[in-house]
Amino acid sequence: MRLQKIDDFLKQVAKIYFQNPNTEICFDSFYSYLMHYGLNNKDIIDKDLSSFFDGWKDHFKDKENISVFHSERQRRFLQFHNKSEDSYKIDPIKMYVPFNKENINDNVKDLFDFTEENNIYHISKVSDIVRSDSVVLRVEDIDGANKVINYVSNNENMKSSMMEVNPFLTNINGIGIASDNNSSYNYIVANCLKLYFEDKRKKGFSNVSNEDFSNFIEDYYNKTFITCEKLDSLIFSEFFERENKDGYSNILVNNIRQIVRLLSENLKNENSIDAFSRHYIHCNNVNTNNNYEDFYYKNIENINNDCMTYSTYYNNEEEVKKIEKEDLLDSYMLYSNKKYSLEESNRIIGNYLLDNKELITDEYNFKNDFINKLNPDDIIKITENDDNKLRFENRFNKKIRNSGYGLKNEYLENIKKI
Amino acid sequence: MDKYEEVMVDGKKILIATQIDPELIDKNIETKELEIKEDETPKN
Repeated sequence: MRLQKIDDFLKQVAKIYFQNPNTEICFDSFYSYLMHYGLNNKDIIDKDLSSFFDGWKDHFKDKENISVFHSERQRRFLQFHNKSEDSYKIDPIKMYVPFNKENINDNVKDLFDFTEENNIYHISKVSDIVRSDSVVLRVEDIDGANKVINYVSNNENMKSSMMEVNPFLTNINGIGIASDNNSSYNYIVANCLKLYFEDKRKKGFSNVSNEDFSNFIEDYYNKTFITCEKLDSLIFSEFFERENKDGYSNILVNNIRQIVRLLSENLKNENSIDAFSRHYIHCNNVNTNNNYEDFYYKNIENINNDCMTYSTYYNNEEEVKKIEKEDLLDSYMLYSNKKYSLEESNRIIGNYLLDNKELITDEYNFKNDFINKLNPDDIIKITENDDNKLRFENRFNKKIRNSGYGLKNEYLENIKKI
Repeated sequence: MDKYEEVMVDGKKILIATQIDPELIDKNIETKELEIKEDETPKN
């Protein structure tokens, strides 16, 4: 049923571009198709949900475990956060609950009353217009997701007022499920659809189908993340630049890889719950690590764990040590810039150069590794010899690491000012 | 900010979005620390 809906969706979209050959195939169109999936004309005309925002804020204002607020970083959504959100250690599971407008006022109150009363950890939001993904929950783990699914599935009011989520999502009792870390599942799916239909415009729309799209995604995945033939097309795309505003391109590539992998599973399996669970656990094994090498390499080189390993390229012990030192510094900067800020990272490394080691975190064993492998003189040498950027023979690593070096260079520039 | 294009599909006119407000995109970004004060809540 779900796969048939994907097939229908693709064929309908193919008609648009086949019958309108001058219409531009653009990303925003595909994001819009997903956002409006299953909506009828009434939903689209009478779409405003922002009129409920004040009522929701008022309803939850005195509740112990939930904070409801507007954020200037996401003005088109109202935020619903469990107050213990900082306890998150792993990538949350994203859940789309597609309530219709008629009952969304009560359903949102009931749903977040449930999460509040059961103190389910979540970071959630509701959009200011009706869409197939108006209500987005990000819960801490599979257990939290199951509680929400069971609650919604056993609530007659909610069950009877559900619209459809887009069929590219894992679907459990009408609730869309994804795991997308710092990116957005629907955002990546929209880009994949754009690439597919650009390809179809060149080759013809006649064989557009779920099976054909599935084969296209499999090929895209392999050539982008396994053989890396098409990695440049991703890294130097406008889409990637838009996504990569924070500069963590290595993590972003891994993030996109995981989402494309999940999409691929969703295109092959009618019932993708098991596939999703396996995928989710795998992603968390990769994303949550306990030392810097895991943090760094599993986010960078093990993106493509089939064809490259660190030791493959280097047998020279001295060279390996040198690279390890540089990687440790890179890793720390990646971590520190993400966790704190560039300024704070500069301050910490500046202190380390003055032999104050206490500011280096113990997390991922950074402090021990710094003390044992990277003394202040090493950092000065690394910063002085900054031409040695492209250490890896592999083209893939060069592209990824260039971005990392961008961060490092910025940091080094600041170091000189200290 | 949204832009639409009218196209014909099977003889019927439909509108497709060619540009959407970037803030409609469901990104997983940190929002907590930049909370808007009560009296600054934007209205759509």
